[in-house]
Amino acid sequence: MKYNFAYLDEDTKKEIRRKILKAVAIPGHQVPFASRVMPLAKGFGTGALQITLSILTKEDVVKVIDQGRDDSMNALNLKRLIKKTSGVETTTDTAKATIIQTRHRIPEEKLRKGQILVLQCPFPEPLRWVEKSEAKTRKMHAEMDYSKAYLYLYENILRYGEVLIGTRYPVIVNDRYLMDTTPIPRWDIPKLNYADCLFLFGAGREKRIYAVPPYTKVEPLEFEDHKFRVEDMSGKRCALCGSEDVYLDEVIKDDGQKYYVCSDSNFCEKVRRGIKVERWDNVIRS
Amino acid sequence: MLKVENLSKSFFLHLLNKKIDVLKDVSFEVSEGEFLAILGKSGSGKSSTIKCIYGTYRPSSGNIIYDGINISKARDREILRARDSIGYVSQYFLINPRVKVIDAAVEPVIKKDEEAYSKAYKLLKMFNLKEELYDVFVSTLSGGEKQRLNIIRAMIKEPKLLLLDEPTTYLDVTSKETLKRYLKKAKRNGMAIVGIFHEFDILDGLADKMAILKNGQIVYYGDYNLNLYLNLVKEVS
Amino acid sequence: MLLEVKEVTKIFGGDNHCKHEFEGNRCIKCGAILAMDNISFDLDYGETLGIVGESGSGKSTLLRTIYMDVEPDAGEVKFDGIDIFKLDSKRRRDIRVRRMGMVYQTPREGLYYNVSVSGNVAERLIDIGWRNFKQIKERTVDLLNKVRINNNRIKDYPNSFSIGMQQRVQIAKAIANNPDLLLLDEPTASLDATVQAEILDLIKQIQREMDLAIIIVSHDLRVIRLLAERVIVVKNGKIVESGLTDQILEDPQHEYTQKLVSSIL
Repeated sequence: MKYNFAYLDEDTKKEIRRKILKAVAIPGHQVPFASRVMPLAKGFGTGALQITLSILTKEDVVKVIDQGRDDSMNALNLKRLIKKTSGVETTTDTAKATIIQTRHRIPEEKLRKGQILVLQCPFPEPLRWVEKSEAKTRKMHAEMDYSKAYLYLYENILRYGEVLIGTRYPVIVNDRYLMDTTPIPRWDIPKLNYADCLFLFGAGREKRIYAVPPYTKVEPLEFEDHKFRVEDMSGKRCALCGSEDVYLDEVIKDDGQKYYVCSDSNFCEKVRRGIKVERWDNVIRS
Repeated sequence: MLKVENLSKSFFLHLLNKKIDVLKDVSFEVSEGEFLAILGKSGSGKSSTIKCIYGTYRPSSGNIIYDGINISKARDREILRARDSIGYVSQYFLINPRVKVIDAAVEPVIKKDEEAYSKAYKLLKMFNLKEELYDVFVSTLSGGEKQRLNIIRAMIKEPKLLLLDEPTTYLDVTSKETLKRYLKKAKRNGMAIVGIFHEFDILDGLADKMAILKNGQIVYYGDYNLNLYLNLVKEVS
Repeated sequence: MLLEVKEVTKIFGGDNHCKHEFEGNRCIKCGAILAMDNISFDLDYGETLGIVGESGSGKSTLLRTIYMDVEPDAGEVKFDGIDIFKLDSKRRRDIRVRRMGMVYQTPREGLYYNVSVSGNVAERLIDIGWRNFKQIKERTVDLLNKVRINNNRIKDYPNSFSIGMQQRVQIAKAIANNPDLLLLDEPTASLDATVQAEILDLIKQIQREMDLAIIIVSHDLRVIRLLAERVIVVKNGKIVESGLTDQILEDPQHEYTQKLVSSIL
């Protein structure tokens, strides 16, 4: 079977690129796009994949991670599809990649100008939890009627005493649009603010694309007396590379013992090999 | 203080396609400190006269001038403003039954401050309403107690004009005497009163003028004279 | 003058190009519904007004127009002298959020069921700019206490309360922003008789304490009698009679008003 370069036909790529440009021109605003049927189930990254395939050129180097790991089943499958239909080089090295497609994490290594991070996004609409109607949420965005996003945090604090939400933390982009940061954890949210790289979010099932261009203000929502905080990683370190101050996954051995490892597998590998890794400089340390 | 000129009132009942004349060309005046008794058989238009003065009935023609305002032609808000200084005791109990007695007593006053409450307590005491009743719901009061509360609600506004429509039907002798004493004092302070009573003992020594109604028309208007009234009634029957 | 409604007209459905001929409130040519026909009235700060009529009379449409959910086809609505339908939607929303409160007929329309009762009230405070969690929470507790809902239930969801209590939550929500104008659309129609009385008493008490201007829409004159000083009677989108509440109840002049009054048990 002979595929067009990067699987998608040229008209589809054209449409998606146009929508990407629009998204970049209006930071944080959700742009509807005609999502195609992809050879993987909805909910497994069809939106992000379409973005990646649309912006791909022969010179690009592609990295795909899932939960921070290059070697997970899904990441490998996606990489295989991309490579098979385009022939471009793939890598696990964050610094070498030009396009990184990710579900759930932004790499620990700082991304430079010219790199593009494509995020798989299941829930693009931060207000959907309280308002089912698309017409109404659009109106709310148009009028900057964002109280309900604060309400989301309020309910959390009311019930648990603090904000315990792991993902989907609401942020305001460029002082204008409320954006859902699904799927990244709180730990990664500060990386969005005034970054050097471009972030693209794709939701295939919901048919939305949105973007955070480089050097854009991204501010998490917070109450005066309950400010935004990242997850508490203090006192923990990676059992493999010894890094502290990094997002860690919890692992429970058969004998019931608990230990932690870096979520970002490439970062962990580089530390172990003694390679210097540049970290993000705009982050809040926990 | 109050001037009623050629007051006429008819109702048109659409459902029965019928016109009912209730008052025809009624005229009288009440000055400050004066008590006008409205007398007549039941159905002669006594209550209707009072309701026209209060603004509940909208007259078909004529003028009702109170304190410079022509109530028969006034707008809603003007009538409400005029009512600030008019006390109205009707035959019926129009109090929300689920309100506490003390709250019902204070309700007509606009500013419900300490002064208002102390006035209410004074009146409640004066009309012999027991202290243990102050915090109970109005619905638990007896007919006589409710009637006394009606009176208190009218008096607490310290009105310039008081309209009374059979306010003593359930009252015992003591309460009637209290009311009479209160009205005498209020008259001395300038309150004008228009009252409908079928118990003449109260009117004795209190009423200055009388207007006798028959079939909606005044058949006599002059100084209060009970014998004159009784004779007139005898003549008719 | 807090609110001035001037010659407001609203037509739903039908054909925009039709030269309407209305019979009752329905156009015999294209089926359009004349929901409001040249309605005018005004309301000042602290005044209470009842709007009475049968279902389909246009009374709810009138309320929703004042609340700015519906835009009239003709006429104007002035809030505090400002022509609200000449404002952009953001400024309109601002007025609504800061100065009005609305209690819908059923709690389903006014509350979020996947949000706690405290959260439901909190939303209105967030709407007017509150950003301190502790202050917001305390105020929601005060407001819920005012409508007699206990501290230990503020985290509960609306559907764990009886429908009468859900209406109370709606009331707490509607007054959270200290509005000048409270709108009530048949607030007790979906409640049992005993609960109705409690809710009406609560509204009356709050109106007095906060000196609110109130517009209450109801098909039930007894509700109007309790809460409103003035009444307008609406039939087929038109005002057929208006006056003081006691005038309407004891001296109804229009045929329709007489019919309504005579049917009070």
